[in-house]
Order: sequence, then C-alpha cells, then structure tokens
Amino acid sequence: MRLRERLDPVCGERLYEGTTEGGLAVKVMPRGTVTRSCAQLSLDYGSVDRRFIPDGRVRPVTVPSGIAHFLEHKMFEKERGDLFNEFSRLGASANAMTGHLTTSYVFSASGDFDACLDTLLELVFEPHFTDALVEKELGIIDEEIRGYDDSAGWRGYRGVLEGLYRRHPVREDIAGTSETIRQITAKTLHLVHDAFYVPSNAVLCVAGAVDPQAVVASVDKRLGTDVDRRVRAATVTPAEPAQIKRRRRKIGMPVALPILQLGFKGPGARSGRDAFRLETAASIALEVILGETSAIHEELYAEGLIGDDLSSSVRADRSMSYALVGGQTPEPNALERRLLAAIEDGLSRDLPAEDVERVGRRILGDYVRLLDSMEGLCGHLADCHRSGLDLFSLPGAMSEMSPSRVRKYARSMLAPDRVTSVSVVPKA
Amino acid sequence: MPADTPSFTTVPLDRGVTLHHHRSDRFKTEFVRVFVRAPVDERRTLRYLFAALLSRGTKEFPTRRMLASHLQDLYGAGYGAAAQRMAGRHVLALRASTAAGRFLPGKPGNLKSLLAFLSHVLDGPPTGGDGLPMPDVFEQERRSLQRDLLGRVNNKARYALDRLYGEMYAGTPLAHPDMGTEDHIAAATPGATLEEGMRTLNEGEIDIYLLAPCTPGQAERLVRRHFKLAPRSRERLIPLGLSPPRRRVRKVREALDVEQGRLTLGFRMTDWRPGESAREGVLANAILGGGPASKLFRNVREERSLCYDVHSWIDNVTGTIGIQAGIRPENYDAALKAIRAEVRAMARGRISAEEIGLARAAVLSSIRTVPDSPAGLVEFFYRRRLMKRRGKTLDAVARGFERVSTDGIPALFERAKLDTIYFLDREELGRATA
Repeated sequence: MRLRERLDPVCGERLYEGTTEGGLAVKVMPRGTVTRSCAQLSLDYGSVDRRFIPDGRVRPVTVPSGIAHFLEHKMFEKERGDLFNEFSRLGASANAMTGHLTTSYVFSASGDFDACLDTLLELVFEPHFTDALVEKELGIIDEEIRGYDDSAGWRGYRGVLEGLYRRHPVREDIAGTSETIRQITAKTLHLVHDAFYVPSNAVLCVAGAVDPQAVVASVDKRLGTDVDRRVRAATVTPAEPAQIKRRRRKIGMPVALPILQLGFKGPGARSGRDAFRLETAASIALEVILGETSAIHEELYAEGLIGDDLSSSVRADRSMSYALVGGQTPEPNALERRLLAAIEDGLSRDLPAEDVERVGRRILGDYVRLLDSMEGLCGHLADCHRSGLDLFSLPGAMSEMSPSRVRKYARSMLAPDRVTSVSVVPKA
Repeated sequence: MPADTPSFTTVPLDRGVTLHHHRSDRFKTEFVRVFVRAPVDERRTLRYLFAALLSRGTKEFPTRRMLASHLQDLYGAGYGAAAQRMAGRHVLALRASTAAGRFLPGKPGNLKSLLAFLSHVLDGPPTGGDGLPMPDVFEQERRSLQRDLLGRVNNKARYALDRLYGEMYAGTPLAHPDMGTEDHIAAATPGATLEEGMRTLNEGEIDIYLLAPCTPGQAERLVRRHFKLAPRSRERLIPLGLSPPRRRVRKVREALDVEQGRLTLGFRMTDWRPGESAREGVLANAILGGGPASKLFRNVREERSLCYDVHSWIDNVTGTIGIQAGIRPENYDAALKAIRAEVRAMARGRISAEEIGLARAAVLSSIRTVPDSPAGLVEFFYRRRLMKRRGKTLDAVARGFERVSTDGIPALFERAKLDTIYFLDREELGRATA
C-alpha cells in the first residue's frame, strides 16, 4: 500500500491516505505532540441494511431487525477470550457504535499502538460466533434495549423516525426488539459478517502519536497483501414515498415536563457532496433561525416555552435525510406552532448574510478545535470517507454557502408539509 | 510534553489568587478556566442561580442573544459558568475556550478577546437601576432551574443516584443535587443571589488556569491586565458534617412506569478521613467496576447476562462506594446477590493478578493521556490541588500508581458497610420494601 501525503490548508497538519490491496481505505494523521493514539475502523453497514443481495447471489435475503448491533457486540468475543480485556491489557480503551448507516470500532491507546491496531483488525475481520455465545448476549442486549426505552429523549427520537418513514428501515430501532433479537443465530451473524465486513467496505482512520508507515506494516501483516475481490453486498432499500407516515403522536412516560420533538423529512441526496450541502445548509438555517442568536429564541425563553435544551440536528444520506428540532416545554402544541412559523418565515427570504457569515466563523473555529481531538478526527475522517468528501475541503466549502444557496437547500429539507411531531408527556 | 515536566507553572498573583499556566503550542485551542471555592452549604442554590445569570449575560453583553453573537464572532468560542460540587467544595467555575488565532484569517488575538470577555463575567451579571439582577431575567433563570431539578427524573440512572444519596445522607447538603431543593430555589431572591455570587467571586480562593503558547511572564501580564482580583483569605475547608453510617441496611423501593429497574447500592466506610487511600481507592474501583475488565462487568454482565450497564465509583472525600446496574426487575435478587458477592470478594482479597494488572494498566493509560485534552489536563490538576496531592508532574503521578500496593484493598473493603439499597422498580412489581 502506498500512502499519499496531503497538507491541511488551515493548520498545516499532514494526512496520509491509501488503500490496501484488499480494498481497505486507510487514513493516518500523525500528531507527534500528543501522547495518545486513536484508531477507528468504520464499516459502511448499519441497522438499515436488513435486506440485501450477498455478493455472487441473485435473490435478496432479509435478516432480523437489530442484527447489526448484535453483531457489533459479538465481535469482541473470540476463541482466545474477550478482546475488551486484551485492549485493557495493552493499556487501551475500546468501544464500538452501531448506527443506522455505519458500524464503528474504536480504541484509544497510550501504549503499544501496533498491538492495539492488530487487535482491532482481528476484532473486525476474524469472527467467532457460536449459538451459545449468541444466547448469552440476549439478556445483555435486552437490558440495553430496555434502558433506551426508559429514555424520554430516545423515545421522542424513535417516535419521529416512525412518524416520518413508512417503509425505510431507519424507522426501526437500531438495537431491534426483544422479539427480533431472539431470531438471531450464529448462522445469521456469519451471513451478515460475510456480506458486509469486507475490507473494501471499511475505512481505517488513525490519529495521534503514530508513524504512518508503521500503520501500513501492521495492516499488511494482519490482512495480507493479496488482492481481495470481495465486495459489499447490495442493500435493497424499499422505495420510500415523499409523504410522512404520521403527523402527530403523544407518548406517555414518567417525565417531569413534556418534551417536543419535531421531525422534517428531507429528500434522499444525489451524492455524498449533495448530502453534505443539504446537511450544512439546513444546519446553518436552523442555527440562524432558532439558535441563541435569534430573536425567536430569546422570546420563547422569556415566555418560558423553552429552556436551555432547545436543539436541532440534521442527517442526510443517499437514501434519506431528516432534521430534528426539540426540547422540553410546558406547552408542546404552542411551541410547535411558534417553531414552524419561525422556520417558514425565516425561509421566506434569504437569511441575513451577516448571520450566515457568523455561523461560518463558528464552523471554521470548530474545524480548528477538532484537530485537538484524536477521537473526533478519526470520526470525521471516517464520515467524510463514507460521503466521498475531503475533510480538508470542509472549511472552504463554507464559501459555497451563500444565503440564497442555504435557503434553497434548507427549504427542500424543512418543508412544512413533511413534518411530524412527537410529544413525550407526563403519564397520568 | 515530556511526562516529567511540570504540567503547570504556578504563579501566585496575590493572597488567595493563583495563576496556573501551561505553555504549549500543541493545542489548537486556547483555554481558560477560573475556579472559585466555596463551601458545600445551604447557599449553594444561590451560587447555582448566580452561575446561570453569568451564563446568560454580562454587563457588556446583557442579553443571551448579544452574548451568543459575541461568542460566535470569536470563531465559536465556548463559554459557560457552573457551580458544582468538587472534592468537598462547591466550586463556581467559569470556562472559556476558542480556536487559536494563529490559524485563523487575519490572525485575530482570540486569547486577549477571551480574557477581556471573562473580565466582564467576573464583574457580575447585568443589573438594573436598583443594582439588582433584572427581575424578569432572574425569574426566567429560577424557572429554568426548577425545571432542571424536576427534569432529573427523565434520566433514570441519575434519578436513582439522586435518590440513593438522598437516603444515605439525609439531613446533610449531600442529600440533594448541587442545585438544592425546590424550597431553596423558591426562596432565592435577586438580592441574595447577587450578594452570595459576588461574595464568592470576591472572597473565595481563586485559581486561574491558562493554556496558551506564551511564556509564564506573558501569561501573568495578560491576566493581571484583564483581571482585577482583590486579595482574599486562603480557604478554610469546612467539614461536610456527615452522619455516621447506619447500623442496619436501609432498603428503599420506588415504583415508576419504567421498563428497566435501577439497582443502586451505597456503601459507607467506617472511620473515614476525607482524602485517605486515594491511590488504593482508584485502583480498587478499577478492579471492582471501573470498566470492561472489572469484576462487575465480567462476572455480573458478561458471565451472568444480568445487565447491560453496571459500574462502581468510589468517592474518597465522603468515603462512599456506589454501585449501579440497570436490571430486569425480576432479576433483583440474582443481581443483588451477584453484586454483593463481588464486593465480598474484594474484602476477602479474592483479586487475581490479572485483575490487578488490567486495572493498573487502565489507570496508567488514563493518566498518560491526560495531557492530550486542555479540559482534562486542567480538571485533573485542579482536583489534585483541592485534595492537596503531591506530584506536580504526570510522571510522578503515574509512578505513584505503578508502585501502589494492592495489599490494603481488602482492608479498605472490610471497612465498607452496606448502608442503603435503592431500587427503582417497575410499577406493577413489588420486590424490595422500604
């Protein structure tokens, strides 16, 4: 594997990029000034990849909801023992995350980086599943699901996705349900591992006190230098109508104050760059219109309709996009009306140029500060790779975001006829 | 930074006012924290409210909107004020950070702007003609605080923890969250809040931490130019005044409409001196329930599949050991038995060389990575300062943990008496009883 060196235009940091013969993308940002090294191995595989055509086959297969998350749990167990302990022995801490679209395995180490990286590659690419180990995990994951079910924020978020989507599997819980996880067997885990855990479907991002050539040597040693022709299985995503499924929902829970969660259903993006524009524009618009610098935020806070926790976020991908706005409020209906009116009014004309520029300065500052976080860097490098973006181009990309362009993209995301609202209210 | 280099250069600016400077161009963030000490007492609600007012505006930027715009102009500077319990004190803490100006267009002097901004924060919140905080602003922050207090039930793990401390330390300030009680919040007035907050700012022992690529002399000049801080008395630490541990275990069950039960155990050490056995405590916690290599994780979660999350903590100021697990209510007896068996194993010295090795490796790793984060570095050394720990370099701290013997851990756990079991149960089930 040959690495290409590139220079960060803002801070002058170096990034080394390459691809192994097996197809694994590798990105290394050495930072000699820190003591820790972090690595994140991310797979383009998440909870939405439930129906797929494995490489070399014709007919699609469907696997139980929650299997991506279950697989992530089981990857740590090997015949030689639990790799959590191996990372601990090496003075590292490890973790893993499953999302709708990706599964990531990370470690942060202050000691033997090469051994940790080798363990990470073993963890991801060398499965060891038995039905007994699957059985043992059921109780643990069941409790994880129950824990999330007691979280009002999570229930609101889940309610929004169920309200926005009719068929897209993003509407299902990432961890599945007590029932679906009981359909998982060692055989189905092998099926999805073979289908998605292939080097060409993954990116390894490393940041910290590392030598890029040593990273290459470790990867080659573990994965070999032979060409690996396996490709990712093709996910079959059901066609999703533009309309939402449900306009409004109320969920009763033991909470002190109602929580309003609004969801906006956006279009599927045409490309990774398109998704980036959609995500960035809608985020800027929501920050300008509803953020702490806005008049409406000040009004709503003064009236007691919001607290400090009003927040927004945007997610865009090739098969779906959505925006969320929400927080605690004593009057969910009144807050919903005010928020929707503010968004509609805010997008009825171009946003003030000085406000967009101010958000641009904040984004540039965030980019510079990101370079102080090894974990954050690995995560951003992996996200950019998945979207076909260049991390170093992000600060410059803000210059593309003129007020009229922000408005155009934001309007496609924040359409008033594709809104769902979920109120989590105190249960009587 | 070599591990044997002192992380901070300490510069006494005046009596009770100390600057701690870390010279480094490793970070792309310039970082300032100001800590002001106060006792854990009934006035902490006032300090909590005062911090909320400081977060909301300054005399120069009196509205939230103006403040937020100014911070965005400083390339998204981070700022916050909080009052929090820390090492037996109630500390008023200000934090501010910004991207280093040398990487930004026109190389703006962000550090100077940040210090100038903080100097206005230290002048106190905006006031009206009567010299008091604006009544409407005050009421908004009081309402926000009341909601935050009531909203703690939304996070079931935290709520269970609040309830455990409420039972274990009834009648002391530790029985309530840092923000106090509903009654304390209702009783607060603008005048009392301002008076207590300004008294804390002007009289509490103050530590300023500055991380920036300048010399200690430059740092001192910058801070002296921007901050006008009067000398103040050195802190006289007031004991927390805890009641002695119970003789009989108190079992409390509360039912809510939850899917998962939260089993929370509180142990108290007998004859505890605040701050004792610090290193042993950290290591012991790592062995018992500090991470995925711990006894609780391996034996209660992985071996017996009784929970997803289980962890322990040791507070060596109060001499408390806590354990919490999210469990299926039907598994209450099995989980309690399994958790208590692990605590018993600690007291009986049934700790393997592997467990000690994994725990020590985890602790050392966390120490070695402290310098990688400005916030982590400051917090780590400020806590050590509060606890009067020796070892001004990370290398010295790490050496301490390499050498610390685990021989005393069984004796430590022999002194740990189970005080309270709090169980947040599912509504329809009845199990543990009060």
